[in-house]
Amino acid sequence: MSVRITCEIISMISVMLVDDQPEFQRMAKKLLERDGGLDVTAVGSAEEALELLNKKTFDVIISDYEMQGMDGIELLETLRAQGNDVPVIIYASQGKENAIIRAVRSGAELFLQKSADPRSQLTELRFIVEEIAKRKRTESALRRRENDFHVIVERNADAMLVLDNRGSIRYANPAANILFNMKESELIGKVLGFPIILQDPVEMYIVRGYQEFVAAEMRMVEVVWEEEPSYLISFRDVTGHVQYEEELEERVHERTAKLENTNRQLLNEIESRVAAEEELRADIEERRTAEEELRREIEQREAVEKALIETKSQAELYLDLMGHDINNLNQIGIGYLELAMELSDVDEIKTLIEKPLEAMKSASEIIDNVRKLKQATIEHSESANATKIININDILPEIIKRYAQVTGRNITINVQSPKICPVKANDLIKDVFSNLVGNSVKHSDPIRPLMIDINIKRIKEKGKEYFLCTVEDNGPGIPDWVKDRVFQRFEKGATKAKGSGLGLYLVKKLVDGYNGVIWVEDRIPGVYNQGAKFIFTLPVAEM
Amino acid sequence: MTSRISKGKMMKDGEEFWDLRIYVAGETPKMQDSVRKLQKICDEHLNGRYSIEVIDLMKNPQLAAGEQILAIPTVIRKLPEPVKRLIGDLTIEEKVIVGLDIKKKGTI
Repeated sequence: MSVRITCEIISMISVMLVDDQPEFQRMAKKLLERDGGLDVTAVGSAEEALELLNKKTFDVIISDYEMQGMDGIELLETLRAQGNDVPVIIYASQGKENAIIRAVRSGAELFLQKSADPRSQLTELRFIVEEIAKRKRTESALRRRENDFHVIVERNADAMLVLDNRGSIRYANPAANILFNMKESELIGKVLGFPIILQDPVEMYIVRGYQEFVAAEMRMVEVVWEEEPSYLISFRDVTGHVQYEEELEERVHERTAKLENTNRQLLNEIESRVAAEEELRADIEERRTAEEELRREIEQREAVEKALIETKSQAELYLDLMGHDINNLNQIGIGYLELAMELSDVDEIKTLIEKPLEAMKSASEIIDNVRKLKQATIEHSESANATKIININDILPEIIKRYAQVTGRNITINVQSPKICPVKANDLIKDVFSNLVGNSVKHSDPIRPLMIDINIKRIKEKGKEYFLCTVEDNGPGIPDWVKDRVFQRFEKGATKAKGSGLGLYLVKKLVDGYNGVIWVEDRIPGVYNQGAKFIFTLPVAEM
Repeated sequence: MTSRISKGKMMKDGEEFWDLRIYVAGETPKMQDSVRKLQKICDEHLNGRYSIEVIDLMKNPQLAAGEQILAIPTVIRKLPEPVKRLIGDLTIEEKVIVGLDIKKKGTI
């Protein structure tokens, strides 16, 4: 707490002059007011003065001692009795010494004896009045301030204590009594302690009634208390504030924890997201690589396909060349050789012609087979596909006719089959049977009679119907070591018979094309040289 | 309970022993600061001739009435006589030194 002392501006000093002699009044007023610092109101009697004082206050009263009615000292006594402490200067004529004692006792500020030179005395009095007025004003201001200070301390909501330099309590305001829960009389004289404090307030605890702790902020100013240097201490109860701060701290703590938790979760999420992104990136990279590989593969395949198409068209060109042009030339050759055979009578010449004729016929057969293979494997024309429904019984008579009537051979071909044997195939199905029958003829001993059995059975297995066809003979048979390879390209049988090595390969390709299977067994199981038995299946077609 | 920080040494003739008590409330950082600072001051100025008794009134509130403790923290200089009391911010070193009268008494 700070006490501010303000300097009051010295304004005009108001003076009341009480004198029952109008002449003196006039002179005195004139002299006192000469410098302009004093404002003199003159009255003629003490009674008049008292009456005016009810309405107005004056800084100084100057009164004559001897007056009609109430004298100057009686006026002074009346004023003091009324509690008015306005400074009063009394003056009297010479020889009134007894009045001096009365005046001083009654509290007169000054007692003057009129001199022979009233002018110079009044001039001097003017200065004295000014001094008294100044002092009086300062005193009253001080008193007022001290009074204000007491009021402030007394009524302050903060607990206030005045301590001496040992820390002993000399004064406690009502708020202090409440804070410490002690009467003022209990507090006075107790040693609180020498306060250690600078400008800033210090947070402390007050031990209320030696039991309860109250958070308080201590402040201090050094003051003079009852003329002794002292410490004015104030305590402000900040329990609420401390509680609020604690709650705030708690809340901040909670918030921080929550925030940290959220941060942690966020970090985890970011990390897992980063990991996921990394994975995704790797995935994309992998996919890109795979796509790149696929593209390269596709390109390679396209190149291969292109090369294949080119190769195929080349092969077709060669096949066409062989199939048409060479075959035509061959046929011309055969025609001329046959003509030469007929025209010649010499057996030796005939034998000589017979050899190239056979060779050329074999060549024609090869060309024919190759053409058919081309149809079965390379071409995807309608004629090559198994698009027709053919009754096997319709094609067999032509084959029997062709092979059963070979000149110089004793060949019997037996056929056992259902009435109708519909299969989904094409015209080349004839070649399946003609090749198998032809092989039997070709590989058999020309001297011995040859028996060929063609057997067709309709079989139902696993909900599918097919024809099980067998072509068996009593020829030389096929050794076991050859059985596996007979369907391979350019693989000839074990006999010395002439052939292209393409016949069985063509048969297998055709049966495969009709969704069937083909294999070879011994006619008599386990005895390979008593004849071969070709077995193949062909799915039954709906008529 | 209370704890005592004692730095008792063999006393030479004419040397005074400082018996201090500090009353605190709980082991808050501020209270711990006050005790540490007081100990530091004693270490620096009293050449090991002191003991500080730390009394936690949160744990022993009944001890407040005996010594008539009105505020916390309070430091009481039991010895050397006369008894002195300080309250307030004990971390203000120079004021504590003046308040306990350490310079005059403590310096050899």
